[in-house]
Amino acid sequence: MSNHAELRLALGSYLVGALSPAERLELEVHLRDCPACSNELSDLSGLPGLLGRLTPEEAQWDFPPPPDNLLADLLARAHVIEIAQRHRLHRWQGAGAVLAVAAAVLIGILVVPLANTSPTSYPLRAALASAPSSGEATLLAKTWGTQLTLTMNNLPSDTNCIAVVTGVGGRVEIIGSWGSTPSHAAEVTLATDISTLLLRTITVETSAGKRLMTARLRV
Amino acid sequence: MRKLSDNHREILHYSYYLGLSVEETSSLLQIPTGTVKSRTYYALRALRVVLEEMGYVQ
Repeated sequence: MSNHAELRLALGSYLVGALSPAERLELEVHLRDCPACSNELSDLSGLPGLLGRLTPEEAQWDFPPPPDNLLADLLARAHVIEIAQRHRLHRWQGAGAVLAVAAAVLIGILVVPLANTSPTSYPLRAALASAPSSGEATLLAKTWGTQLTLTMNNLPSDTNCIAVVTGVGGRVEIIGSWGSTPSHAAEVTLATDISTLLLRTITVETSAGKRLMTARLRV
Repeated sequence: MRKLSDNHREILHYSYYLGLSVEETSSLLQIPTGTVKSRTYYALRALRVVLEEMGYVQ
C-alpha cells in the first residue's frame, strides 16, 4: 500500500499508461477519496494528448532507442505478465472485502459500457516524416476483446508489416502481419483479447521493427 | 519541448512516446521505479507550466 504522497507522484505514470494494473487500481481507488489528487489529475490529463500531436522532430525525441533485447523481452514476457496479473487478481479477491468491492465496482464500470459500444475510429499518425504512411484504426468492442480494422495508405512496397498493440500497464502484443501490396494500401482485420477500454496504442511497424504509424487511444 | 530539461524529455520519451512501463524505464535508465514515477509527474508539471507561459493552456 502506498501513501498519499507516493500516489500523487504516480499520477504522471498513470496518465501515460505506464503503471502496472495493480498500481493503477490502487491509484484509482485513492482518486475516489482524494479530491486534491483528482483535481491534479484533471489539470494534467490533457498533456499526453498534446504531446501526441507533436511530430518526433517538434517533440525532440532524440534519445537512443531501447536495446533490441528489451523490446524482445517485452514481447516474450507479455504473456507471462498476463498470467501473473490474473493470479494477482485472484489473490485480491480473497484478500479482503474492501478491495474486492472496490475491484468489483471498477470492473463493473469497465464492463457495462461494452454492451452498447459502436465502432470507434482513431487516426493512425505517421511516426516519421520519412515514412509518410497514414491510415485509420477502427475498434469494435467484443465480449472476447477487441476487433480492429486497420485501413492504411502509402505503405512501403518492399517489406512486410506487423501491428503491435499495447494495453494499460505496458502489455505488448503483436496482433497480425501482412505483406506488401502493389497499391501500397491495405485493409486488415485483426483481433486481441485486450478490452477496448484497456487498449492504449496501436502501432504499425515494418517486420524489421521500423515504426510507421501509431494511434493513441484516450490518453 | 526545448524548454524542458533533458531528464524530463528523456522520461517522457521512454514512458510516453515509446510506451515503456515504469519497470522497463527503470531498468533501461538504471534509476529506481520511484524516481521514474516522480520524474514523469514533474515532467508533465513542467510541460504544463511551459504551455501556460506560451498561452496554450490556462
